[in-house]
Amino acid sequence: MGDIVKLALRLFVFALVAAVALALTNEVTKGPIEAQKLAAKMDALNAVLPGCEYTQIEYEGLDEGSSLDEIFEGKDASGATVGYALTAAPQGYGGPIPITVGISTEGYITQTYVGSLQETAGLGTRVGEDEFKSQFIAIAADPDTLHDDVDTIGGATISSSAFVNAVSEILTYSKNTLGIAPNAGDKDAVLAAAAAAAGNAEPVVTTNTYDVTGFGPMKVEVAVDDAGKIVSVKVLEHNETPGFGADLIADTAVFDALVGQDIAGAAIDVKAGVTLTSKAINSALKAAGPQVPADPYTVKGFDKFTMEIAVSDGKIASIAVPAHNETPGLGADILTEEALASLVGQDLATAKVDVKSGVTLTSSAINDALKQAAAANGIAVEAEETGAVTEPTASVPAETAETAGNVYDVTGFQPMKVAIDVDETGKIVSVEVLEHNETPGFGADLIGAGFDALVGQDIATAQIDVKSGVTLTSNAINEALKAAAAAAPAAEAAPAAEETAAAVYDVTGFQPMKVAIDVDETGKIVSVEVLEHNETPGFGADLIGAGFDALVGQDIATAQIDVKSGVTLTSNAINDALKAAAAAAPAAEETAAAVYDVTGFQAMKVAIGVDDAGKIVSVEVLEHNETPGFGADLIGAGFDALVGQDIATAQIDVKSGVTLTSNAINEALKAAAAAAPTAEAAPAVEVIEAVPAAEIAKTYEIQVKGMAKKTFTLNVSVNEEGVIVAAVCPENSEDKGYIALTDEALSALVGQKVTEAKYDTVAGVTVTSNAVNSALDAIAAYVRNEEVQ
Amino acid sequence: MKELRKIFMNGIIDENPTFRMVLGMCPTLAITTAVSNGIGMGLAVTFVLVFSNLVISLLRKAIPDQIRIPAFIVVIATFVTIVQLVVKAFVPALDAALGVFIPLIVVNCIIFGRAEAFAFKNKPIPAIVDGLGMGIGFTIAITLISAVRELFGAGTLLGVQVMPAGYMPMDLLVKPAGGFIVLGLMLALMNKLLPKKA
Repeated sequence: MGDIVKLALRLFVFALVAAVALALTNEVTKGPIEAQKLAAKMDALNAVLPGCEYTQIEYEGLDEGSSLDEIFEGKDASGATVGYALTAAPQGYGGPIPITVGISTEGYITQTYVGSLQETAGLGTRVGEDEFKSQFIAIAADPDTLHDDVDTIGGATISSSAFVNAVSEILTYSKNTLGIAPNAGDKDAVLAAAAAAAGNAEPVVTTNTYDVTGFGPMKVEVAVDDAGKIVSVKVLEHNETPGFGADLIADTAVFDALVGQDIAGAAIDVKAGVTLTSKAINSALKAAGPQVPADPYTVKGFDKFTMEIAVSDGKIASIAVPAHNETPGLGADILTEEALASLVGQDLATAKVDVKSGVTLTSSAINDALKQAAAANGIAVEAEETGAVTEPTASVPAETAETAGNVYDVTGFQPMKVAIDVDETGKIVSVEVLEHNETPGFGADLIGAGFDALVGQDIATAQIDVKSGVTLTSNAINEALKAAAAAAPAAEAAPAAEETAAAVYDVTGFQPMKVAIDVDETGKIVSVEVLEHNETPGFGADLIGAGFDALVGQDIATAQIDVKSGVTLTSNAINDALKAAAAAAPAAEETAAAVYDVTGFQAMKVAIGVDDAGKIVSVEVLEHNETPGFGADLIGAGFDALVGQDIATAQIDVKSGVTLTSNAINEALKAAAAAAPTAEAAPAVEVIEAVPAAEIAKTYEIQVKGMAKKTFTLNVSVNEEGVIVAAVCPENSEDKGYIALTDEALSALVGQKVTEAKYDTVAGVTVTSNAVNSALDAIAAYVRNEEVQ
Repeated sequence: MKELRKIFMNGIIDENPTFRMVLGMCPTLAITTAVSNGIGMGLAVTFVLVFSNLVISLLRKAIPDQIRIPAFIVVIATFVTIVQLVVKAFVPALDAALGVFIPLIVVNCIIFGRAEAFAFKNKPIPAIVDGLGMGIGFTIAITLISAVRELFGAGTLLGVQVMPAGYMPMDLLVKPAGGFIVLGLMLALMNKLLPKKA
């Protein structure tokens, strides 16, 4: 007896260890397996109803023993139902035959899809082949005529009959319950539509050869498909210099990178040493692209000349001066194709050339032409960006004051002339070395690389790194920058509009401190700095040393920093200073909230505050009698999302269950919009740019186990950028888990990237929350797989 | 080291599970219709062989003789289930191709046979090498059979069309009867080329 018990115990232990190992493996593989199943399902759906959004619906009134499995409704991008996909798994010869049949709302079968088969190879497996399946394409979705249209397979009776019978059942359901009137379709049309929707359509490719001139004449062939994307770029003939242009042409990577790009605007980098060759290729690309007609604009530089400017989408498509009389070496140089090339692609609203000394008249003429073009195209030009050229110490536009003002003579390896432009807030607009004699390979390369990184920096502090090998040159540049800083107006002198004089507040932390807080006229913090302090190093001193960047941009009325232990006195002192600044700050613009009487479920008073730019400052429900759990909860959640929105268009979503309340809030918003002063007309420029956010979302329906082994379904919609746009649980039948699956609870997922989304575990309903997370994992895995493909 | 080499080569030639011991016939006949299936199944079996041999060898002192059969089954079944879950999750194509034959590895005589005949009576390292040798021997065998069946029965190898376009594939070869025939012919060939040592 004892023996048997010992043996049994031993075995028990083995089994236990095995069970643990299996449980662990299961945990790891569960998600991917779900994802695979989802992928298989999506494959089937996409095969029969390509290019739709699928939502699973319920079968109604099915018999016991029906082999019908699932049914999906396919909607196209506009939300209209295009068809239904029904799946069934009838028993074949060797196992179940998983089939999916797509039925168009127009009454015909779109396609059939067969999953993995266990039938006899070569016989039963023929039901999965196109020869058999194509019989079903475009036939009328009528069970009565089915047998006339399709033949079973000789030698595979059981498999094919099972298939056909399942289809018959599907058609019966479609005709009787879904009510789709059978109507045969045009087979070719259906196939073509399917191919197009699945993106298999052969794109029409246009190939042209262009004669261009690089170093020598070249023939460049450009192939573009009918969607405007580059298919290939080849240089057929050329005589470019080996080691230079010839090498560029031989570099397949350069041409491969062009494939797939939009032909409009496609260009390769123009690199030094292969300028002519690269430009030649770019002219071929331009010629292959959409030709925008250029309009001529007459302007006067040194002399009169005409500029031809083509505008497309608000951007400069091409700009050229066919003939002019400007001075060679001066104005003529900035009218060359090379010089004007930098304008191509720029926004017409902001495009301009710098007015430089020696070419003032010509540059102004170019800007004039640009303005004319803008006017002709109905584009409002932004107020002249006070480029440094027009304004540092004196507001004299002419170049004479300028050049003296912004060209600095410094000496690197050799004497250099560095031109530095600074705008009136002290930010660098441009840094250019006009003349230099630095060593090629060293200082000359540093200069050649340009100083784009300096643009936008504060002239008071801008410097470039002094690197070994270019010490003299870098130091020279830095000298020029320092000279410009000295010449520049004090950064503080801000234009009158901006309230930037920082106020200094005396507060006491561990010791007395002086805190300077800068607030702009809309009440937002511009900067917070501790000018003097005596806080303890390692504690308050470190807090101060870390800076207060996080406060910048916050509303002074509510800005506070966290009071952390160990730095209590210092943090409190900072907060005191903030409060003092808030008290001193000019009252935020016109925020007297207007109160609107509206009626939701009951009468409500809604106070809406709008600033004078038409943006919502606050939305508060002062009095209401809405139902707790419904409208009251909506109100309780607050309307923070509305703050900052434009009153003219702000509305909240009307959700079911709180329809009356939401509508009432929207009424109040509309009333406030009617009452608000019209916001400033947005500059016309914006109209050109509007690109609607990718709203096309794929909905994934996934079943997961919640508490007590109950399965529930989650519908998660993910848009093209992989961001969750909606998550709902259509049938929330969990008990305790219910609160984790409400629309509101799941709305926390909206906006998250599906590959990173995490659903916070709701206390007390861990299992359900975890189930939601595994659903997210499965979808993320599927999305990732899709991306890889 | 020489010992180990001997054990390894034993599984490949002298006691090749398919051609000498004629074990594991069920999967051999059923899935050898394509080279990719053969390789996939062979690798799955090798994995299970190596690890179950290892575990059983490690536990050989702890498993009482009277309950060794159920103990082997627990160990083998666990590894097979792990293989099945991993394949289902990460290589669904293989899962679709091998289908029900993955779980059937549990009752594959090769694995059980080696556990009883070798792993239970030897140290871990030799057990691993034996598992490797047997597994690879099995893989080679079924890959050879699959190659013949796929090449002549479907005209492709690893899915790539190899036979000229005009070739009419011998359908019989991809059916069970054809499997038997090919197996029988290969057994005969093996006996001729590598005669058994007496």
